[in-house]
Amino acid sequence: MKLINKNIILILILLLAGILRVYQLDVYPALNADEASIGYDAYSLIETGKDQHGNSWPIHFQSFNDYKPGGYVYAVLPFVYLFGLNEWSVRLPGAIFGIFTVLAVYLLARELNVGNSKLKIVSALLLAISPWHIHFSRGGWEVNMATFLITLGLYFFVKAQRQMKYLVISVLLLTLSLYTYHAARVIVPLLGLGLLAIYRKTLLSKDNLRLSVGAAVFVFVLVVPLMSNFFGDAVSSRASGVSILADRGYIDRINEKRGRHDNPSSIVNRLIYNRPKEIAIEFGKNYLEHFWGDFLFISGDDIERNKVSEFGQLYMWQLFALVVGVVAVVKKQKEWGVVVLWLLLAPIPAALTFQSPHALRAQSMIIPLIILSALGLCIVLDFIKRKVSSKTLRTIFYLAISLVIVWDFSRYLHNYWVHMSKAYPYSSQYGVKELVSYLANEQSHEKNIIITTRYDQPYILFLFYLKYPPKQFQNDHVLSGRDEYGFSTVPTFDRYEFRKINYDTEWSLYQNSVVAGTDEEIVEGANVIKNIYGTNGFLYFQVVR
Amino acid sequence: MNIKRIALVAILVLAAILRLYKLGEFPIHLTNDEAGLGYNAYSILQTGRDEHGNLFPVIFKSFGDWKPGLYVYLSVPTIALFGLSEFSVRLPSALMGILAVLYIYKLGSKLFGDKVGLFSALSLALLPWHIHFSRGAWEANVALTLLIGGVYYFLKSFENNKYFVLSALFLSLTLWSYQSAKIASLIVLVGLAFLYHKQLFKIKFKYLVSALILGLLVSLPIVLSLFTGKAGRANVMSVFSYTRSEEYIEETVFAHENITRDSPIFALYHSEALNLFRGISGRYLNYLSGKFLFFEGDWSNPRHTSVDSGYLLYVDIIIFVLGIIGILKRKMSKEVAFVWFLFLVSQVPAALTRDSAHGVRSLGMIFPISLILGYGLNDLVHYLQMNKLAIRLFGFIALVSAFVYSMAIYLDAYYVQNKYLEPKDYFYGYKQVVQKVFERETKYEKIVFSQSYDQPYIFFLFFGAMDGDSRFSAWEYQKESSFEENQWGDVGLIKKLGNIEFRPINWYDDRGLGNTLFIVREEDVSKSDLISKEFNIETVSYPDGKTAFILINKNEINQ
Repeated sequence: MKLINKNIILILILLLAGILRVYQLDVYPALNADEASIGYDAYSLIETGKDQHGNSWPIHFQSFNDYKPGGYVYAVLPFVYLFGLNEWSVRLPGAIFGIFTVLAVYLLARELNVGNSKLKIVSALLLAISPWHIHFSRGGWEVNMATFLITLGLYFFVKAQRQMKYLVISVLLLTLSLYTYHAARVIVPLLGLGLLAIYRKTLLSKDNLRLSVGAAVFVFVLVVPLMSNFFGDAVSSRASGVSILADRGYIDRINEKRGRHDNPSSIVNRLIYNRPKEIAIEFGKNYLEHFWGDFLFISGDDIERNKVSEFGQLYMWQLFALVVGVVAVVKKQKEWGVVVLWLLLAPIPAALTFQSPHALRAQSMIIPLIILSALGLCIVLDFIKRKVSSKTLRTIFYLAISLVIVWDFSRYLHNYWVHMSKAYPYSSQYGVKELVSYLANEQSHEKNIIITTRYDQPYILFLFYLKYPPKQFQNDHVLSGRDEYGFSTVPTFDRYEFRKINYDTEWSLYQNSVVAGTDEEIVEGANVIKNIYGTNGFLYFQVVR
Repeated sequence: MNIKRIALVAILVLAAILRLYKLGEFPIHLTNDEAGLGYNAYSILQTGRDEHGNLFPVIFKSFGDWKPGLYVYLSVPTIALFGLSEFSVRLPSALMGILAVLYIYKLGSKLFGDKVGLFSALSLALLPWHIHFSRGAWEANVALTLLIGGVYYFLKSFENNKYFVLSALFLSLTLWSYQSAKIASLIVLVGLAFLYHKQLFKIKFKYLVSALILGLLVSLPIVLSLFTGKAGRANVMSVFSYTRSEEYIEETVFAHENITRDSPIFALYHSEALNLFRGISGRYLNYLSGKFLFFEGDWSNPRHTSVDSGYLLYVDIIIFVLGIIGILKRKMSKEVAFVWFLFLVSQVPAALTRDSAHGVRSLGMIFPISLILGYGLNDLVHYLQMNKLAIRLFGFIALVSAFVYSMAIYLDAYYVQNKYLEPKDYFYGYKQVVQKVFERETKYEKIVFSQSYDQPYIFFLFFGAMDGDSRFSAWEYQKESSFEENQWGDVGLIKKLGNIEFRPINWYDDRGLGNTLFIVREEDVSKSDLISKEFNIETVSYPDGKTAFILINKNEINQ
C-alpha cells in the first residue's frame, strides 16, 4: 500500500499509457500482413514446431522472404498458446512492451541522476502520450520490443556503474534486442563501444575488469547463434537489399558527371566523383533528415503506415522543450553521455537505407528525444517557479502550458481515431477480415476463389483469419521468387488463388470461380454478389461469381 | 604589416577571386531580371530615364513588378566604365560580396575578437551560398552587405558617435536595394535597439537626431511607395494570401467526420489559423534543415543553387555544429544574444512567403551563419593548437584538406555541372538566338517570337544595345515602349519591339505565313514540320545537346 501511495503518479501514468495502447487494440488499425505473418508463424510453431514455410524453430522467420528477426514471434507465442490465434495475441505483447517502456524510461531518467527530481516523472508522462511511441505500441511492431529492451538495458547499464552486478542483466537485455529488430544490430554495438569509451574508467578499473571481461564473453556466447544465422546467405542478402550500398544508380550518376570533363578519368575527377563519396553524402543527408523539423514536429514520416495525418513524430510544442533541453545539456554535458550518444546513434541504421527519414527504423530515437524534451519542460517549470513571484501570474503560466499540452494531445487523439484510417485507407489491410468471414460463410464449396493482390500480401491474412491448419499449408504451397523490392509471396493454397485481376480481358479464366477484386478491377455490369467494406467505411472488395 | 593584416588581405583576395573569376561567363546566361536591371541602368546612363521613360525613378517598374532602384544606380558606373555587358551588370553584386567579407571581419572582431573575425571572414569568403548570389545581379546580396555594414557601424558608434549616422544611412539604404529587406531590416533594428538601449541613450543628441533625419529621408521614398501600390509582389507572395481550397478541406476533413465549419471540433483541430501556423513553422524549420543548408539548398528553384550542392560546404557540417556548441557554452552577453537573435529571426521573413524554401529571401541567414562558422572554426583551430605537435600537424592537414575537398566539389558543381542542369532556368540560349535573329532579320518581312514570361523582349534590348544597335538604344526604345499589364496586375508583357513581334504561337494557323521568321520552342510546332523539306530550320541547343530554340521559316524556294 505504501508503495502505491508513494508512486501514485507513476501508476496513473502507466494506467494512462495502458489505456492509450490497449483500447480497441484488436480492431484499430486493421491488422497488416506483417502482423498476420508473425501471428501465423507463432501458431504454426505451436501446432507443428515449424514456421509457415516448414523451418523448425528459426532465429529469423522467412515470412515473405524478408527474414524477420524472431524475437517478437517468440514473445507472441505464449499469447497465441493461451488466447488462440487472434489480433489480441499478436498485438498485446507489443502494447505491453510499450507500457513497460514507459516504466523503463522512468527508471532510466531516475538513474541518470542529473539533479532534477521531476525529470523521471515528466519523461514517463511524455512517453506515455508520445505519438511516435503510441503508434508503434499499437500493433505487432518488432521495433517496439527492441526499443524496450534497449531502454531497460541502458537503465541497468547506468545502474551498474554503482553496482557492477547489474552489468550482466544489461548485456543480456541489449543482446536480446539484437534478436528482435534489424536496426538494433547497428545501434546496440555502436552504443556498446560509445559506452565503453565514456565509462572506461569504471568498466576497466581493477575491481571491475574481471566482471567486464566476463560480460564481454557472455555477449559473445549469446550472439554466436545470431551471427551464424545472419551470415547465412538469405538473411544478410535481405538486409543489404534495402541498404544505400546496394544502389546501382551511383555508378551512372558518377559517370555522367565525370563525362562532363575533358578528361573523365583524371585523378581529380576520380577524387571528386567516386562511390564512397557519393555514399557518404547520401548517408549524411539521410542522417540529418531525421533531425529535420518538418519530420519531427510538423508532418512526420512520408510512409502512410507510420503516421497520423497532419502530425509530426513529436508534438509541435516539444520543439521548444527540446531546444531548452539541448541547450542545458550542451552547457553541462556530464551525466548526459548515454542520452546524447543514443540520440546521435539512433538514426544511423535508418540512414543506411533508402527511405529517409524513417519513423519505424529510427523509432528508438524517441527515448532520448523524450528525455531531453522532458528536461526542457522541467527547466521551464522550475524557471517559472523560481522567477515568477506573483502567484496569479504563476498559475496563468502553468495553465497556459498545460492547455497547450492537453490541446495538442487531444488533437493527436482526434487525428488518430477519426482521421487516420480514412486519410490513409491503404496503410493497413482494412477489409480483408470482412472478406474472409464473408467467404467462409457464403462460399459455394465447389468453386475456386480468386483474390486480388492489389493490397499487399493477402495470403497470410487468409491463413490468419481462417486459422488454416499449418501442417497442411507447409506441405502444400510454393513461395514465389523475389520481386523488385526483395519480397516473395504465396500465389495459391488450397482453393484460394491470389493474382492481379484483369476482369475484362481474362474473364473466361474466372468463369468457374468466385472472384474478389477491387472496384477498379471489377468491370461494370459484372455479377457483384457482395460489396466488402472495411471498418473505416471504404469499399475494398467486390465479390463476383 | 602584421600577420592579421596579411591574413585579412589574403582572405579578401580569395573572396575576390571566387566572386570575380569569369564573372561574365558564369552563371552561363543572363537572367531576365539581370537583363532588366542592366538595361535600365544603361537607359539611366544615356537618358536619365528608365525603360518606360520615367525620370530618375526610386522604384523601377520591371515586368510589372516593382524593384527598388539601388542596384540599377550601382550598375550605372560599372556600365559607364566597362560598357553594357554581363560582366558590368554583375559587378556591383560581386564587389558588394567582397565588401561583405570585410564587414563581417570587422563585425566578428568587434563581437568576439580578431581571430573569430578573421575566421568569420574566411567562412564567408568560402560560403557557396554567398558566392552564388555574389555572382549575378542579385539585389538581395547588396541588401545583405548593407545590413552587415549597418550593424557594424551601429556597434562602432558607441566608441565614436559619428558612425551612428553612417549606420542609419546603411540600414535605410537596404530598403532601396531589395523588397523583402523592409521586414528584415526592421526586425534587426528592433533587436539592436532592444539589446543596446542603454548605449543608445549615451549617444550625443546631435548624432542621434541627424541619424534619425537622414534615415527617415532616405527611407521616405520607399515608405511612400508602399502607399502608392509599388510594394512589389508582397501580396502575391505572402503566405497569408493563400488559404486551403474548399475541395481540400472537404477531402481531408468533412469526408472523414460529420461536422461543419461552425463545429467546435473544426475550430479546435482544423482551423485555418492552425493550418497557417503549421505551414509557417514547417517552412521556418526547412531553413534550418540539413537538406537546405548542406545538401540541396533551395530545392524549389534550381537557379538558386548549384547542382547537388547545399548552401554550406560539406566540411561546414562539423564547423557549424562546433560553432553552435561553442557559442552556447559561452557566457551569455549582448554579443551572444545578438547572434542568437539573428540566427532565430533571419529566416522569418522568408518563412512568411509561400515557397517551401527560397534561397534569396533567406539570404539574411548568411549573416549569423558566417559568425557561427567563424566561431566554430576558431574553437577548432584553438583546440588543435593546444595539442601535441603530431596531433596538431595531422589536425591542420586534415582540416585544410577537408576544406579544399569540399571547395573542389562545390567549384566543380558551379563551373562544370551547372551548365547541364536546368539550363532553361538560366535562360540559356537567348543570347545566341538574339544574335541569329540580328543576322537574318533583313531577309524577312516579319519576325515572330514565341511569347512567354521569360520576357524575351528584354534580351533583345540588352544584347541589341550591347551590340551598339541604335534601334535598341534607350532614346529609341522609350519612344515606342508598349508594355501591357496582365489581368492579375502581377507580371506584364511586351508585345512588340520594332519589327519583332512577341506573341503566343498557334502553329496550326501560323505555319502558312510566308516571309516570316518564327522563333519558337520545340513544343510550339508540330514534329512533322521539323523534318519536312517545306521548312527551313535552325536550332539553338543547350549544353547537353537538347534543343533550346528553333528558328523556323517557310522555304520560299519550294513554292
